[in-house]
Amino acid sequence: MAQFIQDTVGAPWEKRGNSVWVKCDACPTWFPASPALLGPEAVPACCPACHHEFKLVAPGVPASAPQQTASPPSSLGGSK
Amino acid sequence: MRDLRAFLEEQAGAIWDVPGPLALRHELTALQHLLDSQGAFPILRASGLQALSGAATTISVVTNLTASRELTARSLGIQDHRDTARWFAARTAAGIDPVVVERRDAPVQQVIWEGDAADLTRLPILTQHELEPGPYLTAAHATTFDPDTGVDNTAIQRSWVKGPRRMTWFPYPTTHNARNLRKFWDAGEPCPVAFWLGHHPAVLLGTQAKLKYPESHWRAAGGVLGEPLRLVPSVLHGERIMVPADAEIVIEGFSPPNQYSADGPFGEYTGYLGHQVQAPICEVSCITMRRDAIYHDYASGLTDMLVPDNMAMEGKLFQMVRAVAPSLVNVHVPTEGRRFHAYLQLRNPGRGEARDALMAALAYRRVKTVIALDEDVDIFAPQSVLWALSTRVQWSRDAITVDGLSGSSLDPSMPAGAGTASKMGIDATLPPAPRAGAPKPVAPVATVPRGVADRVATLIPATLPAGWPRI
Repeated sequence: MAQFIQDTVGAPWEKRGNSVWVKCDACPTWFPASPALLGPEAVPACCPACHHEFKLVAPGVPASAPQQTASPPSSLGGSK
Repeated sequence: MRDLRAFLEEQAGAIWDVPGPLALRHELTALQHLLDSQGAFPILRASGLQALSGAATTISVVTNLTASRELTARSLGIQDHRDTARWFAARTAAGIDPVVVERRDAPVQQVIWEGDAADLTRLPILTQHELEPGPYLTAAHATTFDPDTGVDNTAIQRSWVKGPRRMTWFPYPTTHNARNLRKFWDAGEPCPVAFWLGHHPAVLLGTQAKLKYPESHWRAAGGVLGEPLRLVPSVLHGERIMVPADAEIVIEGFSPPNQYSADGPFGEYTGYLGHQVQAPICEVSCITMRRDAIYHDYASGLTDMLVPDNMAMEGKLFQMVRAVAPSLVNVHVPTEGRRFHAYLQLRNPGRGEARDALMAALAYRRVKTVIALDEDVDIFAPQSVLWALSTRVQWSRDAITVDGLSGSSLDPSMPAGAGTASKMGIDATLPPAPRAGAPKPVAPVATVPRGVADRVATLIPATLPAGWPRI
């Protein structure tokens, strides 16, 4: 199952990040993905390091608001 | 005839033939990062390379072509790069109509690869940055057309080469190419597209002129080039899509309806990687090129990529702002501000005019911060701009913030889910004089007499001794 990291929604005056980080299902690589790739209708994401393709839909999580389900990456990988 | 190879011959002294062999993956781009950080901007040329397939290729790579603002301006015929805004506005507005030549007179069709031979892996395509998923065309000018009018459109759109005859390309949703693509797809038809690479810098900049929809870029390119752009019908699409006859390489294909694939992350002009997105697929059917083709690459997010588009932006901003602020004399879109900052220079603006100018410039989608400055401020020198900001601005009086304007989703500071941007205009001009001919009602700038400065300037060595501190 895909793992995500996304900042939580906060007040307008609080600084929040706008990126969704995704972990590859097949290797340790984390990479930033557009929210447009998170819906069930979206094409599979493609790991930039190993080119494994996988869907970015977490069970029970609305596509527009994925929850944080993993700890931050220790390495961004992706430079094979 | 002005083309890429003629330009390279003229600029032999500005070219560094990089000792090789170099890997297409990261190595050339790493050199560009290092050169940028040192403020050195030679054109880089690499040969003796391997194509993506691993086979040796005679196709050389040229990159950093437009990293130097000074050299890029001279390539257009602008002797002083600081004159770009007014020059570019006038040339793109005047324009020169293109001419169509016979196929036999089109160098870009000297070699034609069709069917299975139209193999992208035969090209030396770079992978630039960490976390980018593979080789990208970064200087591919995608030409499509509006099916309703037949009017063509051209824009640089990155393309991830995913296989011998398959790639993604990313026309950002607000672009004119995206509108053309959508029109074909809504009719259930594949979108014809041709990607051309490698031409004289004047053509590269001319095709980046900011135009209405639908409006062909060929006429503006001719205006910047100073002569009619030579076009030839593409091999696959015929007269429906014309391509520059003097380009180096053309890749032709179709985007089948509603077929997307993952694309990115990819280095953007912001200096950050853009997110992975879903992008249209292009199925490649034909590649044409010159016999000894040169492959052109833009270093994404570096000055090589920023300089040409920023210069084109200066021309457009000059047109937009001058319409409401006649005191506008110059515009600079500095590379250190990526494409988000614009400096406007005004000559004795009347009351309210600096703010009028700021509001006009803030309407430009990518621009996020605009500063209005006086004529005594060097808008090409960051220290001069900062001096004006520190001494001519009271923030509660002189700064305007406007929310909800169109902006760039590539801006890493945009709030999650935001569709519009928050922007700022800063009036850093001095107050107007109370009557014509009177001095500005503020303390004068500290200066020395011009004659004295000119006289002592000759005492300073032409080359500063290495031991003199620089900071």
